[in-house]
Amino acid sequence: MNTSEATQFGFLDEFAKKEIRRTVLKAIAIPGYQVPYSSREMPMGRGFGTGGLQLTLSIIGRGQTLKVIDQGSDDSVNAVNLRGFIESVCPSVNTTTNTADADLIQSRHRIPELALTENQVLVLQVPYPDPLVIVEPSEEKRKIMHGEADYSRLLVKLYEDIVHFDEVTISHRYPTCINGHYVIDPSPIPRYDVPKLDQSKALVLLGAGREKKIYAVPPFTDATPLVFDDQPFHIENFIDQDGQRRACQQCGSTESFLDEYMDAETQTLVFQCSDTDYCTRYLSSRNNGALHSNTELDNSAEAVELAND
Amino acid sequence: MSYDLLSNADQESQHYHLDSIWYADTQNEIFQSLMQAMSRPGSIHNLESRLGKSNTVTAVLATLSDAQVTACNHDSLITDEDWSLSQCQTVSADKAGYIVCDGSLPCSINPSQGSLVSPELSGTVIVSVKKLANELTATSQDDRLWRLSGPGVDGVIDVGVSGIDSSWIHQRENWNSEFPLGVDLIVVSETSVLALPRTTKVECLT
Repeated sequence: MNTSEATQFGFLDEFAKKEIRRTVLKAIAIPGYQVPYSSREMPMGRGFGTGGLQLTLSIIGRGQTLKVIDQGSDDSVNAVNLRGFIESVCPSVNTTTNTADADLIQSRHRIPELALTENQVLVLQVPYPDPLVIVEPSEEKRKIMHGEADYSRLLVKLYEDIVHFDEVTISHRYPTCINGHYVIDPSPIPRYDVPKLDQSKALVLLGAGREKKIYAVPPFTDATPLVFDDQPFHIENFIDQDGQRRACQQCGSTESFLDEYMDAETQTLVFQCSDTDYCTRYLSSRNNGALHSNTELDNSAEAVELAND
Repeated sequence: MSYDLLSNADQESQHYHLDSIWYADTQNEIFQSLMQAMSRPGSIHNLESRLGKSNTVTAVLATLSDAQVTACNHDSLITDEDWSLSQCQTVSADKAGYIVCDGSLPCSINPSQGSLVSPELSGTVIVSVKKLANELTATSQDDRLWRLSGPGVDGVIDVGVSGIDSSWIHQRENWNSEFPLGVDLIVVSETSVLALPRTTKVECLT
């Protein structure tokens, strides 16, 4: 018996997978509702993406292609470790960094820049699934509030922000109402990514391993950030002091979500795409002299459509 | 049970006389169809190549069921042998997590709709019908054309369902009148499956 066959395909036993699969179907049927599940022990600490990992392992089948990203990057430590683990327990699964090639994308804290298609599933790792936890400590009471779609105290919290700071100060995990009823914590994606959930072509599944919850944003479903009529929702705009949209210092794109960091040598602020796959492709298409418009890049043979709305 | 842990490769090499639907790889493929069906109401997924000698309704139950599942074989569509292989606990329809029904008969069940705090504790009904199609030529009284809308549907989608009693859609509307409470339906034909989650609005065109 070789090592790859000594381990159960997908690491989880079939009973664990079946439970998660039943939970996923319920989560899709009740958009935005946090369905409890048993959340098995994984060979890594809870809080390191075990919820997303259990979803991926229960869904993925032989011959399918997986992409794993952490904050948009294929190469940061959480993504590398999760990908390595999945490769070792799912020997016939292919992995890729190319967003367009992936059947399933497991992500920590970002939705890829490239618009996802109907044939793709996005799995988001969730640390804190319940947006009401900041206003109500008791889960029993929160469940009643969710059932009644009573989010008045959450709105008061947003209102207090506006009173104190003239704007809602939530930068990520922005409370988002799904299909007009349940408000979800969309995981720590930046505000920039929240509009991508609305009428998304791809199914979005969210898994919180430590908190033992699975919920979903089905495709073609309304996902509306909580706002007031006179306080519209803003996304990060990356405008500098001169009113110019900042560009990625690596690829030059002015249409992507940028990470901001301090260059250790020059002590200056640097902005760079957080989605490394997008950045690499944008750069190579520019180097190839390909014309790019706002909506399309000619990337060798295939046209890659960018999510830049 | 050990059969559940076998891969399809084991099945070929060890001459188990179990149909393919009881094996992990096949169940993974059927689940993916169910997941797509549930997230895109009205999309019809053909399972023929996965079924082996089994029928679709048994394949769906096999994919979802294990010893933790409560189920009701309401119209005895599942054979006793398959029912015991599914390992599910047999309970009455009003308490069951999954209820297998013959759609050609009038709807006579009252599944759990869950509760306000736990809407997931509702029953899911697996309804067997004659035929599913994305267009329909109404030839008999049992042929229906439904226009679906709601989450998962880009605008509207029309589906034709043959061999379902008209009471089903009426009952479903009652069950689903108070979201988040409700009952999800998995409709299976001889070859295919589609799902009607509780959020889907169904307009009967014929």
